[in-house]
Amino acid sequence: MEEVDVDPAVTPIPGINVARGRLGFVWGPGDILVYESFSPAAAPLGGPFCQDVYAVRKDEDIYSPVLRKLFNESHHIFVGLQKITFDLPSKTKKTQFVSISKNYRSVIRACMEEVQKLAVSTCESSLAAQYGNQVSILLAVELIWNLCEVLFIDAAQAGSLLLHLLDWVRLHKADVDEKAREVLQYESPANHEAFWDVVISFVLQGRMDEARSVLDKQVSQQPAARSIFKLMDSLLMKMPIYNPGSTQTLTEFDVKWRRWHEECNRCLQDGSFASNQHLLTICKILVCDVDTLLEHKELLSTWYHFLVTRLLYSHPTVKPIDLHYYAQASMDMFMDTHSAPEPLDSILMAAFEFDLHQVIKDCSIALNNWWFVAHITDLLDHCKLLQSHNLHFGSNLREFLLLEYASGLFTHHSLWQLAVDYFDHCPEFGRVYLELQIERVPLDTERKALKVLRICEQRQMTEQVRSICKIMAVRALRNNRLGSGLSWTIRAKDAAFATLISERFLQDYCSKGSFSDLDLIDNLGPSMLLSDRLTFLGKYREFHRLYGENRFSEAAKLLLSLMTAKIAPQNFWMTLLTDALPLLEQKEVIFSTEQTHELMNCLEELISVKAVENQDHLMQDEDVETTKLELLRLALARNLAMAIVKEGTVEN
Amino acid sequence: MDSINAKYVSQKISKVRWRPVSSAALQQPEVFATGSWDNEDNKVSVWSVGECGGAGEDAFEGDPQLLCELRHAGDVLDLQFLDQDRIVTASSTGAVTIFRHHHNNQTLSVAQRWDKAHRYPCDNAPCTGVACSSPELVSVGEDGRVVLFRVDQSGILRTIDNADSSTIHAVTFLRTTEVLTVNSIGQLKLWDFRQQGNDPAQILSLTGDRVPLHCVDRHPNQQHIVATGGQDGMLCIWDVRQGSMPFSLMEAHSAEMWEVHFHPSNPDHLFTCSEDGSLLHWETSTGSDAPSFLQGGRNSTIVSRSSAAPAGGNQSLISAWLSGDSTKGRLETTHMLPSQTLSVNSLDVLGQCLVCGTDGEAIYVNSRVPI
Amino acid sequence: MFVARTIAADHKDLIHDVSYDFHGRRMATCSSDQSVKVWDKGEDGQWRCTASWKTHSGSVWRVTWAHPEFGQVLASCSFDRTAAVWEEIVGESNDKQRGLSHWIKRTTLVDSRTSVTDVKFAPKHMGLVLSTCSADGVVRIYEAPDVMNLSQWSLQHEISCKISCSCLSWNPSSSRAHPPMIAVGSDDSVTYCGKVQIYEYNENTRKYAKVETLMTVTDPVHDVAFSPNLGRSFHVLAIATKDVRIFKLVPLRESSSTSVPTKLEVQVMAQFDHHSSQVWRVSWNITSTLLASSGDDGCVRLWKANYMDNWKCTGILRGDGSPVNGAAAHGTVVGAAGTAVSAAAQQPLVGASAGRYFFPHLEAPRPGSRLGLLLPPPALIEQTCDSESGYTQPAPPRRRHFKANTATLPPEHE
Repeated sequence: MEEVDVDPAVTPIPGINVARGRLGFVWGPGDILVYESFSPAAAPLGGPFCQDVYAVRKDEDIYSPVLRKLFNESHHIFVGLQKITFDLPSKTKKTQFVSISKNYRSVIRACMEEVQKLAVSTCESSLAAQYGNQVSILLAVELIWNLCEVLFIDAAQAGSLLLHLLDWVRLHKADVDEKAREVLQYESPANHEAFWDVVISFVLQGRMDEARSVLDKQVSQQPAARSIFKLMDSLLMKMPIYNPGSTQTLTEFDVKWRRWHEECNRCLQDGSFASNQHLLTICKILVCDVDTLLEHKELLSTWYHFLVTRLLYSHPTVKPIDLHYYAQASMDMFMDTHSAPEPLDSILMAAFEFDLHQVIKDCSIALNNWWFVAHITDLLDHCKLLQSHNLHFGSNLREFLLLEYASGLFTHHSLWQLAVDYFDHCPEFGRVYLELQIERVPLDTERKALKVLRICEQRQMTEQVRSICKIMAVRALRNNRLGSGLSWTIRAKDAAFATLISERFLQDYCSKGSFSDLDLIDNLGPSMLLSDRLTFLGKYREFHRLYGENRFSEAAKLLLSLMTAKIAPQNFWMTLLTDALPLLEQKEVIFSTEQTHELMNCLEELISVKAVENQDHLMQDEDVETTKLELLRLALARNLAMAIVKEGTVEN
Repeated sequence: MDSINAKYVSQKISKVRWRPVSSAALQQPEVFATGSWDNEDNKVSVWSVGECGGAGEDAFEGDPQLLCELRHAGDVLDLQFLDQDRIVTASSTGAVTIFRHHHNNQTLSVAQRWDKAHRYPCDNAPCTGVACSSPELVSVGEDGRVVLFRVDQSGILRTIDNADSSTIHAVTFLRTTEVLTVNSIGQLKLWDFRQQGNDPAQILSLTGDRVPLHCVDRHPNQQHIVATGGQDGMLCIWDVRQGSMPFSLMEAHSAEMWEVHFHPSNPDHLFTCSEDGSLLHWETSTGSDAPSFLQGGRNSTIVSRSSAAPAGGNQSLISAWLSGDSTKGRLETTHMLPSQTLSVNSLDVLGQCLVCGTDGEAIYVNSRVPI
Repeated sequence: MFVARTIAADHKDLIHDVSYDFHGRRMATCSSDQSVKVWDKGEDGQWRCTASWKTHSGSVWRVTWAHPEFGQVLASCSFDRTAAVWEEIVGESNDKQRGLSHWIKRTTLVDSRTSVTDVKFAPKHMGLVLSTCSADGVVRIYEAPDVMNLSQWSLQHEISCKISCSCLSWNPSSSRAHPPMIAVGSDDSVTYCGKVQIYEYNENTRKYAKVETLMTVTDPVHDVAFSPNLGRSFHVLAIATKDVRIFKLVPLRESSSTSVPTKLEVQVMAQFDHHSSQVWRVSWNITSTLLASSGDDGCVRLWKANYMDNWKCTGILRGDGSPVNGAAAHGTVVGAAGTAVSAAAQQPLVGASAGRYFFPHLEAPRPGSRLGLLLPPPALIEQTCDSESGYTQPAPPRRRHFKANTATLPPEHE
């Protein structure tokens, strides 16, 4: 399969002389920054260099406010489509897919109308031109989608195929109704210059009833020719139209149609319409006289209209597989031989040839944005059409296109949320892409961080959860919001950072003498166990609370356990022992003998450790230290004495 | 169920609020304001829905039309109508702004702004919630501050620094001098502005897991009853007078609950919306025999778990919401949105009209809410 | 592609490197004027310079951000033989109120004897690890064991590459199952040898060992870049040398034990000489779907692989040499419709819209072309909204009602 070799587009960067130097660049989330940089080759050139950094963006479509509606609405439809279960009978499935296709198309049309409104109301000509451009592209997209729906999704068979194609043409050539309205509102419609154009246009589109009613206006004008008008009217009325719901088989319809066709031919041959040139033209059209049809190129305006008209009047029971013969022939007849087919033409032709893959490929090349190919490929894949064409990369193609589209969405500051659902439905690489990109969403507010976290948690992306919580914790710490930081750290389940924050809390306590953020520490709950330091912090705070509530014996027990169970860091033991002093100096004996012994042990341990440390350097406040130690020893000894006495006393 | 319109507006909606209608007139609300978020240019917009609630109408007529909009610096994290003409917003830049809506020429303009109401020592802190009880305003933010303003006074009346060690998510007025805040460690704090000092008058919280609370709303008639929504989608009803624990807990949603609203005139109805894309309509009925079948949608009867027995005394005085026993009262919930959407960030209900905004950049208006 | 925004960098000399931070909201630029500037993107999308200070006593070659898990940290390297680590501090000064922030130097790494050519942070799962490479042929890897105290960095490894190094790249494969891997490129033009070396950390010897030298790359290498791993089992490395080369490195594990260093099978995925000159930078975008390369021909080229793994150039950025209109240059913002307001663009930007594929603007509509059909007839444009679309069907209200599922399109035949 050869790739169409399209020359890459060149984007000019103003202000930088291409001969002067290198372009430096860096990739950003939605753009690429470009700047002029040093080039040893250009150095001798000298002269002023460009001082600006340029942000170059790829896809302007996602920044258009109107197209955003398209992306949002189609996302809704996409998600609904993925949820359809597959154990439905195929007939129901087909109807469902067709209705989804129609949903997509009506979304495109609504968007197109809005852009059209904008194009009309704007004053700036360049903006109007751009809107006009967008309208044209959307029109083309809807045209292609509609044809794909008829040929592939609905897979109309002979008989109804032509009916669908007629609808397709009618939908996209609606200026006929405009003209008709204009003519009919004229005081004397029959004399309107566009009168016959209108009639012929209706006939070309197979709208017999409308043609007849317009033609009726002419009858009164020319009473003499009433008979031939009546004849034409009857011809138009008698044209058989296939009704798929009826009991009539295709063959029966075909027979009827041939009979009608012969009658038209007869009328033509025996010169019934010779007197009226217009009616003669119409009759020639009815017998599908190609030259006459080609005379009306302007009314037909496109080769595919020509194709459908031809089929209507020569072969209404055309089978899908024969379509492309007629299509190719029609295109050849209609177009000038020396003009190259435009991309839209080749896409439509590929569709008539039932070459899905070519359609998708050509659309990918022709269109700026992946929206169209991604969604239609996804829908066709659900209809199991890509596999049946024996493309071994069928499902990979769908995934590739969806990933492209979603990655583009992810670069948008707001539409990234839509992209998440698309990644979810790409079984092979979706998760990896999502993991990579979700971390990069900037977290300006907590609310946004919560939404991103919810997305990650729902998909069990634990590493991303941890990382995001850590980033929020670091940021909180920077802003001195220790409570918030601790909250995030607990959610991140990051033990190391929890230790860090606890240290900060404890440092704060030592310097200020009181705890900040009490309500947080008081309510740690089970998350206290995340890190030793955190546990200590919680328990230490509990000690203070117990002390404050005058529950001294419990406080004492807790204090002791902090040291004996080694929960408290060694450097904090001095503070803890100092905290024990007031308990020791209470009138009541709070610490039992055992407890006092343990306290003494702790004190000795602390002293020996300090001695080791002190060997190297002199402590400045040795005096204060020694005094404190002496006080402690004294208090402990006294307490021990009182405790022994108390425990030894027999109650009377 | 009536069909509900979706209007796609090319911006993610973070807040919607109906413009208050004068209580004398019985008309349905027609105008609402929205705030957007996560855009490079965020906007405050005012919309009109025209006729609401007429019989047999094509609902297409209820399509919201944009009246006017104005650029807003930063995400709109909260939005309230101060009165008929003025809208207050809380911004992610830490600013609190008052917009004036000029009815004659349909424009919006900035009437007043307090720029750094919420800040860190050297950065901006998002202002997460704002409540008004004219002429006073209270705002709360991620910096744990509670700030009191007076409309038309450019300075700040009072700041409670370090009111909270974690982020405060929402605030509501209980009385003219009392506000209630909820924070990200699952506590409700009652602040009385008559008291000096920076401590709350009361703290209520759930024991056990500290689940962050995101929204709070007060019962319109009984000021001591408050509903909150949490990060795990739990709906709690609290009685502020008694106990420090919620009266009932209900599993409402499968993800964060962003807003909870009592219906202002019919408080037996409660509405909640959530990150999981659903909007629930809760209806409580006491003593009725037959369940009221709501048409369409999905019905589910949620069993409410009560964590405390209802206080004794006259049953009729106790709001239906506090009757924890599910056999005595009945709680019906209905999904108001036809299909799962992206997160429903905000809702507002007034009269028979409900409006909500989603992350799917759509606004839904239902003008025939069954109440 | 189109120029969406212009930022006046205002360095007094050429800019050597621009680096985005992890979230894309901050940017650092460094220049020959020996300074580094830090820019912040506001809520409205505008860039503002929030810090500018002198960092070195020579041209600053590269600047890079650490992962935000470690705070706001920058590293820079310079011709003055040093690399430095900077941290943004908060608190004391009032500068932030005025929108300025304060960066202080945490450490200077002075081990190199020659110009330090590149500085890169390692993937975050390794901790706060920084690597530098210099013209003396040594790659140095430093670590800060305590993330709260960034003034303590210890030199963990010195890898002697024997030839002067110009660039290095860490394999961003972020799983802890893969040992750290680093690619080093050399711009030595004297010795004849493979100019790209790949080192991998061996847990047993606790050292970095060379696992591969790309022998086919013998010209001076100016840049190397590992592509972010997207669940693939192999690594992809892009190299900027006399052309652009993309290599596929497939690990072959002979035994399941980690004691044996990985052997790599080297395959060439693509090679492009479109620049026809020295290529001095290559870089992957975040999803590794696009590679950009910049050469001495003054162009930046974008490369992309399709689903069949065929690579081709999908875009070119080239200076157009026209002088910048000073007034228009600053802060140009994209209009709501995505119109590119580029200073020099007088004609519609080529390639910016796909319209050109469907509608050649310069040709008059002719029968058979879609122009007649698809562009609304000029006369209709003047009219009011109703008839604009040229459709007689009303906008299907169906799409606003969720009840009905079928569009109100013309009645379909069964």
